Amino acid sequence: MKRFFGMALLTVLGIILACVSARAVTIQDAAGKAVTVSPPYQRIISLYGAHTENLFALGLNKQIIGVSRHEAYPPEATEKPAFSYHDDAERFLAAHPDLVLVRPMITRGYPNLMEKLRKAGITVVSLQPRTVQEMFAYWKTLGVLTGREKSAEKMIRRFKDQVAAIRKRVARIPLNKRKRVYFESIHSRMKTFAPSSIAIYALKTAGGIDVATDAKSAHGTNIADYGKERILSHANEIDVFLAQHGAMNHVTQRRIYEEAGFEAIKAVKNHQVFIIDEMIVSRPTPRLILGITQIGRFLYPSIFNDVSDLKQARTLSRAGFAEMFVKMAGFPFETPGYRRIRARKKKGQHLYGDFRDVDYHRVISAYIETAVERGLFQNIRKGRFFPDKPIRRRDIAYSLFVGLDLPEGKPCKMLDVPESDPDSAHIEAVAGLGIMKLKQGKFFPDGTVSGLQAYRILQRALKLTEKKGNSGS
Amino acid sequence: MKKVCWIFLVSVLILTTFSTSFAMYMGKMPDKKAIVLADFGTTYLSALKAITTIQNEVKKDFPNVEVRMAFTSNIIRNIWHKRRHDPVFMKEHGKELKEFLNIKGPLATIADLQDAGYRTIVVQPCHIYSGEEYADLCSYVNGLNAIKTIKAKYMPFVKLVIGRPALGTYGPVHDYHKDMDVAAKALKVDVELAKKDHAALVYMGHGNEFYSTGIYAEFQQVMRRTYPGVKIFIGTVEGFPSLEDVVAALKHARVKRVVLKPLMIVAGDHANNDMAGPDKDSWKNTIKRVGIHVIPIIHGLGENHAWARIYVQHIKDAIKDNHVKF
Repeated sequence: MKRFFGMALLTVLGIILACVSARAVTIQDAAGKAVTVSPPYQRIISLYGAHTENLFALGLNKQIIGVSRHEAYPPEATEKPAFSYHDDAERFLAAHPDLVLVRPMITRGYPNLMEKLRKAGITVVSLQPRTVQEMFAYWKTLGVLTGREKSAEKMIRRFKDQVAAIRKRVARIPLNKRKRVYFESIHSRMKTFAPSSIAIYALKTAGGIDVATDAKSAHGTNIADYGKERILSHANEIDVFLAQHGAMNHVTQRRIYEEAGFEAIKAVKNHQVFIIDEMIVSRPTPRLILGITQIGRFLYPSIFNDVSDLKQARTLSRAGFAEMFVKMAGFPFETPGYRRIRARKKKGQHLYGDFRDVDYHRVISAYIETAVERGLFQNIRKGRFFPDKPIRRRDIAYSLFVGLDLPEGKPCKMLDVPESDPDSAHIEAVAGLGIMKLKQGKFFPDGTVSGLQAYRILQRALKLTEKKGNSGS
Repeated sequence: MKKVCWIFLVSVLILTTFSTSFAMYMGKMPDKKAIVLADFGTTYLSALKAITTIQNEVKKDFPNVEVRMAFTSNIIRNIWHKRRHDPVFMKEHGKELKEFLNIKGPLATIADLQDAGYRTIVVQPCHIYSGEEYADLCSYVNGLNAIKTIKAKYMPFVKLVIGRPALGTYGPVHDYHKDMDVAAKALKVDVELAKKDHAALVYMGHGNEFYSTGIYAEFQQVMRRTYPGVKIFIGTVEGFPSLEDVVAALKHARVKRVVLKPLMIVAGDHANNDMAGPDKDSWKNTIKRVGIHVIPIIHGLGENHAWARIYVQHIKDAIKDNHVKF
């Protein structure tokens, strides 16, 4: 009887599976063309970093058999075989993919490759959302293609919840205090973003006002021509000059500050020029939340870098300290970069996204990774951060010494920190400045601190670096 | 007497004019003299000082010679060329930086000069040591010198020679040990700065992965010998000694404080990012990690007049060695 049930169950499951796999669905590609597909696909090659990132976010590690050449995130993506549209079709065929995900730039530039792949029976889908609404539809399409509709729904819901939380914070800023921003996309050509683009959505969600609303999209892309003269015509209005940085724009703050004519721009005069990684502002991935948060941190530090919640902690955790430090010092988010990954890989060191005990769906992960990337934590073991463990006083001393450019303090002796202690120099420097106090000559290096104590320590340390006019950022 | 003088002067003038035009008619080219200063280049106006300091020192000693800059970096040259189309830049800096707006690579610069009748040219690299870039530049010059015309009078160059980098090059003519001694003396200001701060002096050199960079280690020894009162360490971004070597040495010497400076001509991206940047792998933060205070100084060696004089001397040596008439 039991066996019969088992057989029946298997048969039913088999039928369902057959239905699922044979199901033909029509989706819309980036050109608005209807494409009939038969999901779920099991062997996927993604030729665009945003597709790759989203597929990983949908939990498709196993199904991804190939990625583009310059993957930066998540770290697992860097371990997959790399493919390029410059490769021969045979190279793709040899890997037996059933789906190749591309974007319009590739279909336009490499029609022969696309044709050969299609002829070989491989489904080729070109996707690239240009607005946030299109981004949600795109995530859904990815869900349909891979049989992960539910995960896609969850991804959209989570994103919307996070945006709602940010909007709530932004609502506290009076309208007449909102910052007016010029958002640069390509410095050498003085281009900005189209008002409907994802980048401008990020800016507006963070409470910024785009000054280049008259910018016209170039060839229906996210990018819009603007020109120096028009930027300078807004010179007095631009409170903040924001520039994306990445393959499209190799810009530095220094280049913007030194750009001829820019000395007239209010943001340049007031040292309000900021650089942000294009991957978190221009790409249609869940990491857009980090981009929005970072823009908020640039524009309204008192609101986005608020640490009052953390101050309540009875015993501050490592994660809490990372967030508190990065917020109070105003360190911008570090992001994983392709070049950096290649440099690191040789040494087998920690990569952004490697911690198994950190939830990368949450913004706290960005604070932790930023702190780690800045070297605020020592002895980082691959894969583990121990976010909930309490932060020890020695860890704090170390992170202050490394993370900030502190002046030198008076030499001081600590009864419980011998010179042989690996952190003794860091502890002595911090204690010598009076940033961390001794009790009857003892430092208690392995003691813990409350949120409020950590806050006061950081406040004292930051005050000392301010005097030198050097925050280390 | 006056009359005789006049007649003499006029006839000399006529003769010279005639002979020049005659020579031109026959195709004989004029022989003007020029110096080409070859540099990697920079786009930052604030870093340009390092390059112009060297240029000015050279001009001071060769007031009647055409001195031209050449940048070896394609990217940097392109940025400068684009600035020509920027009316705001042109209005603000067009005149004073005209030379850089039209900056070319060494090959084109030499060719332009040759075209304009400069047939005696000294190419002086503003390099630190004889590494990859210097080898490439030598190859350019050798390539041009390989041109042999059928008729000697049509040879493109009367003399095309190259000077040696700051720390010298191989060969018995100019002992590179002596070059290192001179270079070490030029860095006195840095040593005094470290001394004043009771700090060790750490230099970040560029180095490379394709050539032995042992000269940096040797130069470190020369510096230590020249300035026994201060602890001095030299490392490179690429090659030996590495940053790890420097950190190990600092720990071994129980150093508590360092002055960190680029051993490079220009304080550009390397100095701002690799050396003093916020990343945990920057030189500043790597040294701080072992509990050492770091005072970064972001100035290129080109800004140091004594260092700039080294290149002037190397131009003079190239002139003398090659019997160039300047």
